[in-house]
Amino acid sequence: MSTSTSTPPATSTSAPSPQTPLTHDFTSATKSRFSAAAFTERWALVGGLIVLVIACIIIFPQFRTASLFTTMINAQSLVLLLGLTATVILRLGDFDLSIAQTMVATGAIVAQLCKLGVPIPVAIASGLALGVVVGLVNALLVVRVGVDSFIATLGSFTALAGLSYLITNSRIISGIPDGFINFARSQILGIPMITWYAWILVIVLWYVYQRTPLGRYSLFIGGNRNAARLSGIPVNRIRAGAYVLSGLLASFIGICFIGYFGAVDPSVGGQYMLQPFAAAFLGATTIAVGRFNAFGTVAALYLLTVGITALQLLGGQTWVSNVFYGVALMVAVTAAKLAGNRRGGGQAK
Amino acid sequence: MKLPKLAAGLALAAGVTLVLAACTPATGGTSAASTSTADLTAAQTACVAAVKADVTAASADTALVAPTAPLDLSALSGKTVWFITVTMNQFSTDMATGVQAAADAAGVKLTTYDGQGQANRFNEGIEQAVAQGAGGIILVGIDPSVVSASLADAAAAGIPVQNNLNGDPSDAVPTGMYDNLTSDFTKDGETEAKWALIDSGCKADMVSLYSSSVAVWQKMFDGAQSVFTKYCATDCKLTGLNVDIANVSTDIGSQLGTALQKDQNVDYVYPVWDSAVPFVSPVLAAANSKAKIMSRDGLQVNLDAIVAGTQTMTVAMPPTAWIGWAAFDDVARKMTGAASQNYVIPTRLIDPSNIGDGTAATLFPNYTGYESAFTTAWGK
Repeated sequence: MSTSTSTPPATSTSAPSPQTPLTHDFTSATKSRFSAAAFTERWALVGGLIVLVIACIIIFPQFRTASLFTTMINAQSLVLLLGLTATVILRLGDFDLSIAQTMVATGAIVAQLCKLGVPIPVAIASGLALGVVVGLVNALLVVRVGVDSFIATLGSFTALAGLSYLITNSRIISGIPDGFINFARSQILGIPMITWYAWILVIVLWYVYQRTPLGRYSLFIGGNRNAARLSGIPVNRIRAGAYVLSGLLASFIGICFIGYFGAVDPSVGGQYMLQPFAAAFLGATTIAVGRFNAFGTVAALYLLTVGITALQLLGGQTWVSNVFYGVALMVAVTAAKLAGNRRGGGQAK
Repeated sequence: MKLPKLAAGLALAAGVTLVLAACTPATGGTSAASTSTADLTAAQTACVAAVKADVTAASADTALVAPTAPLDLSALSGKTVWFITVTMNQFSTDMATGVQAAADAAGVKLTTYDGQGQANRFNEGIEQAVAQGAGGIILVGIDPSVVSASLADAAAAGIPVQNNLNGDPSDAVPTGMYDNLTSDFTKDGETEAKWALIDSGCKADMVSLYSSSVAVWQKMFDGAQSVFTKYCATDCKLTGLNVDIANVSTDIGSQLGTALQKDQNVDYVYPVWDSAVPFVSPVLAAANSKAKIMSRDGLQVNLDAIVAGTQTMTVAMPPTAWIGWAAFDDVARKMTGAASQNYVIPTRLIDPSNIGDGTAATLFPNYTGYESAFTTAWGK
């Protein structure tokens, strides 16, 4: 496979000559002529975010302070990290529902080992190893055995929930070493480190998704696995690797998690299960429409956050926020689906 | 192609170096300034005086609550008690340990059932207990209204069901249950508010986190609100944040963060349950808020936090395992037809003035060796 990023010629409608073998450069990006409709489709959500922020700045004095923005961003850091991790598998047309519980189980292992006096590097390595093991088990079930990814990773999630209770003896573990807390909560330019990690992950994933063959392979695999396999893409290896990466990232988030909260409550995994997926699906309706993408996930999550914060400033009750969250997701995903149908397909199904 | 990348890399490294110079560590010696009471108005002075006695009483040592009448357990031979809890969190685990120890001492079998926070599981647990001929059921933290049909089945089978930690002692006993074994949650909320009034010189600006879907949390918030309204309507402020119980960790971050931006003078944050504190701390840290953290329950992790200075106060129940013993004794008396001891789970206000080393022996010295008070009453 070539790693060229040059634009291939437009698809010819004439039949190829027998001397010319059929080839297609799957690693090359495609370019299309400017279309106002497509531009609107790509940037509507981002535009909506900008308009909403401007409106909030006009209406609410609190929105004229940097501290409100850092507060909003900070509150969503863990969900953003998990949402970005979710896109790794979603792009391949699979699910990994276990990431939230991998995060908690990792936190539980690391915290408990630290409490037992195990050196911090060993504790961290053990936590990261758990993520790799979870990824390998998920890969074995989904890729090798062929179990539906939703079911397999839901099973992993549940098993890890039990493991978290076992490790912590159903207790909140506190007394997290300061190093972890500094790792997550220390501030650069007034923004906690955990938010910087999320933003770094956004850039890394954007680069991989948009600028590397692997990113495009993942898209092809998610779009049509059999076609990708016939094209010579190592589908199973990429899928298995993605599950391991997903588990490893979730474990890293687990280390951030214990630093952020300064404690581990084994019961919170379920609270982080669905929100990352909501962000990822909503993110697939913008920037790279129909595809799970990093910047779309960020924009979507921040749109929801700004909207919910505005509702809270207006004195809205909890149910109002939940309705806003749910309706925004339904409207955006439905709009993207309709747009995809009009275009003749999309990946985020 | 390589040169721009190299330049970009160098620029990035330089940027990171500059930014690291601006990095602020999260841990360090920051302590909230104590409130000065030197410049109180007459109204504030009167307000403090009005609540001081109650806070002093709430901070005092707690007498042991234990059986005052003997109990013959011989009739319970071969019987099984079911312990059904809303979810097997830290509190339930500790309480179950106490119930198990009491059951072992009494020679009675115990079945523990985790409701996993799901109404269908609550009902399933009660129905299983009925089907397996349970002698009695201890139902912890489960709203009777969501298990009314199962409670009717238990009542029809003659199985006594204890309503544990699901309301105030004075509340009407729900249909299908025989007793409320609980704390006075409304009073605990009042106590917390009164403590804040004294600590602030009746100038408290408090945010309280609760969930209306948990009856006892609502009672605590209502109790706190009634105190603010009664004693400090003018100079104090209490904002209630009704959080989504299904998404506590994320909802606290969102709602509390916004509330702190809305009112940057908040000096007390009062989640009405101890295990919410880990979700509060990072929000305060990110907002650079020095608000004092208050809570309720008395989990060891929170008592340790008060010792460490990362939490200011809590209203604590006695050792959780003791609650298990009291619950078992109460249901056993009902199963044998003995008169109820009308236990009420006491609480004690714990703050830096009486925290000591934070151990149960220090905070509840009268509860040291409480087991013998029960076994003696049982003739064991």
